[in-house]
Amino acid sequence: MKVDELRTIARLLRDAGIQCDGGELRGYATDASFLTLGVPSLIAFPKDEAECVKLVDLAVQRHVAIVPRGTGSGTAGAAVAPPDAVLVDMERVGACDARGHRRGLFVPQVVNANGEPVDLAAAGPEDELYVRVGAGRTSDETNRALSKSGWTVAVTPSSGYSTFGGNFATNARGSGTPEYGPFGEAVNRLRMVVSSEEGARVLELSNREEIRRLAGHHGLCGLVTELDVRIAPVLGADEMHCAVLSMDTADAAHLGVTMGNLMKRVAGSCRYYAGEFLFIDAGIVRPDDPIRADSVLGGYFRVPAGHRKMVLLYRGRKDRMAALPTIAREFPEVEYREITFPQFRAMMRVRTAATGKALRRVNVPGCEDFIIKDPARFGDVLTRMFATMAGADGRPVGHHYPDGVEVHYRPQAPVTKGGIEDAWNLNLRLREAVLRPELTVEDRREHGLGLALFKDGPASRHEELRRLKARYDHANVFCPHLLDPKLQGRFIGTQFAL
Amino acid sequence: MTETVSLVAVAAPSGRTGVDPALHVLTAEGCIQCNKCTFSCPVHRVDVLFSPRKVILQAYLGGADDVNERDLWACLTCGECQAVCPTQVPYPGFIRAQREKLRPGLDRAAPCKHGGFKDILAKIMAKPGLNQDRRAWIGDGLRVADKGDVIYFTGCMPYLDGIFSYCDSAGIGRAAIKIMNAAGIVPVVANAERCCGHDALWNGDRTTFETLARANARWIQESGAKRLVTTCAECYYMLKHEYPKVAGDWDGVEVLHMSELIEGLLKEGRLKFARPVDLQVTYQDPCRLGRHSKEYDAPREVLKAIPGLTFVEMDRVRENSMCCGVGAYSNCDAATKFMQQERLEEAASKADHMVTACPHCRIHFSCYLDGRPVDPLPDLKIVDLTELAAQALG
Repeated sequence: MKVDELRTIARLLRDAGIQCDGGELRGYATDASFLTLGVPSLIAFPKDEAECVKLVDLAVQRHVAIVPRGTGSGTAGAAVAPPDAVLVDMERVGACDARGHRRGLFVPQVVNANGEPVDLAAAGPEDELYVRVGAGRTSDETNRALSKSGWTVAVTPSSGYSTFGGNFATNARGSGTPEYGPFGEAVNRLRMVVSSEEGARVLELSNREEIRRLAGHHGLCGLVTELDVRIAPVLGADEMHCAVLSMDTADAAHLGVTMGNLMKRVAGSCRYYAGEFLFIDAGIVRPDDPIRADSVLGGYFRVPAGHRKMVLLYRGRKDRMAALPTIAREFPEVEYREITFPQFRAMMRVRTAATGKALRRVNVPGCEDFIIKDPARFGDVLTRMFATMAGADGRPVGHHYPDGVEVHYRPQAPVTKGGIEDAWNLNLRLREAVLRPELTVEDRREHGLGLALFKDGPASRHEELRRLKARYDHANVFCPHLLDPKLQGRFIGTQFAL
Repeated sequence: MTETVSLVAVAAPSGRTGVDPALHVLTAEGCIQCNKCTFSCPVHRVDVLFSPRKVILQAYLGGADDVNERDLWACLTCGECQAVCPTQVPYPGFIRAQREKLRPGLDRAAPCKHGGFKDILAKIMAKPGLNQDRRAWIGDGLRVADKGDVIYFTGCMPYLDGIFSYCDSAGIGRAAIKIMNAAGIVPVVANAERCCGHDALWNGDRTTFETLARANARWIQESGAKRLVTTCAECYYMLKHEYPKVAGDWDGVEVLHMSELIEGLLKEGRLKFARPVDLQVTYQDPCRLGRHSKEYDAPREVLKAIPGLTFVEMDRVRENSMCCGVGAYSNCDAATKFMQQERLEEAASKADHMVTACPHCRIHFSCYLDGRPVDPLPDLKIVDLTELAAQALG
């Protein structure tokens, strides 16, 4: 962006009362993908829909691209802006008081499927209810607000701090997805600021089919400002079934086949809220982590030399998980144990961190969200994965969804330029090894058609996104770079000055 | 002409050997840029430009010296970021190390509020040959000793009332002695005691901290005492976790926060709460006692043991508790006031009294209530746990 133009836009934003910063912005050069297009020149922090409208008006008038960003916890690279665009931090939208300060606590507004206010205290567990939230709100803070009434957000990505706007933009999956689908399925209504040739338009969408199509738009279509998000009753301890299934062996293929077949059986016979897995190695938690000394959970962190251990966790309603113990007995090498919800959460804390946990290492993302459509091929995939990553640090983790097994892996590199480059190259070799149709492996489906892997996504989805963009973004101001086939992102780790 | 800014690796300064100590702290655990730190940060909620995640990435890209002075001092070091971090990146430790590294080169020292009195107090106390009367505040009817098994480490409490007239900080000390006396303990209150060095260390003045730590450790070890009790969360954290790193492990001395001592005395039957205290209270976890020392239960057990008291938790408690808004007296500004407003509103929605277990939390919240609140507040009183417990003695 030209310096004069940058200054003009910054001045116009400030005149419009929109907070912005054009100073040292290296801290915004990437999101959790660690991919970059350079350092953005300007970042804006609108606090509500009115400011989003002013921002889009300005973008249309000045022909400037804008790139919305939630918390930037996504691993698709969609929250990364090129230097000539204005990065728009949406985390305050709909979450601020009149002074523009983001409040940590709020009173949630709950509505029914028709958008009518509902008294949560009088609601029943079978009611279809939604919480009306600003796009900048997160699952964690909304759950805190809802917990007093015994309700929770139905679909919560493992990063509970991602914004609802971001969850919608990536169509995130997570806890609750096996029951309610990806995040876009759990949205009943939304408000968006989109563009016309003249300026901003505000739309309110309640057509579920259209909302589903827009889910995963990666910021291409507009600024989402408010959503009605599905909520679900919190299960009591007596209603909930949590279980851990584990197996360790020196034979990775056998491990994968066994656990893959187990997952296939579970998907066919149980309805669960969450299915998560992780591979245990010495570095997964600190040596002094209290979980190692836990009388129940500590055993899962002891792995015989030369073995690989996979731990699979399920959580669901008791009546819908009744078949699980029987299924487990069909796999005598798999140890089955029922655990409490706090124990499940303790294991999930490890699971959440496991992708990136590395003592005196940096994790190098790049192999996120391989989907193995047929869990029976899990053994073949694991064999190839472990063969490729032989000698490298880090471990695969993933989710078991009813439509497939999703695997994440990040190599962990010593904090040197060479180490990081080696890990990046390992990612490339790994993609080559496992992203194969014969293994039924696809790269991110709904979750991630962003910058990082846009070129790898299915052409039909690209085409749909182009159509949606043409419908909503007449002025082509939202993330136009994502549709540029020549776009080349770089991995920021190779720029580390360490 | 289009001006673009490219990411260019910054070469390490020539002659630099080894790893930058602050960056070493930061890279001990791998930041995955998930942004939970920033979202949990109370400063960020008020000042959107302050972001721990941004600081970490800048430090990765440009070296720790890229942290600007504003970001360096805006951090409360409350540890809420580290508590939610999936990979436990020690952000407060990084900030402390960076303050330590940069302090000698800064135009001025830490932006210590209240005329820099804490800085000055620490420096005075670090001088050799200091002659103090640290018992003048005690008053009649309370018994203290020159020697004994239990030391009451008062911290800077005797000096606070000279500055913060709206808090009777010495009342906390009197309450502590009253409780100990009731349990048959005659504590040592020593003139040899010096500042614990908390603010010096967290504001980057390691020399002063180490001088104070060694001086205190010497007289404590020489006293032959078995227990070291403090009513201050900051003193407790320092004595328990930082002193051993400088002065060696405590040899047979147990460090206790007053809440831990009371809890133990109640369990042993040496202390009884006989007098009902008819109040509805909530509890503010001090950062240094809670997140930094992981002591969440003892204060709650004490509150639950007080007859007549109704204890209601706030929504954000224990490791998710919100800071009082001031860390080591180095940051108190408009952002602080909004944080305090938010926290006090939360407390007032639960109770009419907010209990803390740190005299500094009480001072900072009371300061806000005593000054010009951002918004009208319901009637809320800030009380110290030890004083409340003493009331229950009858």
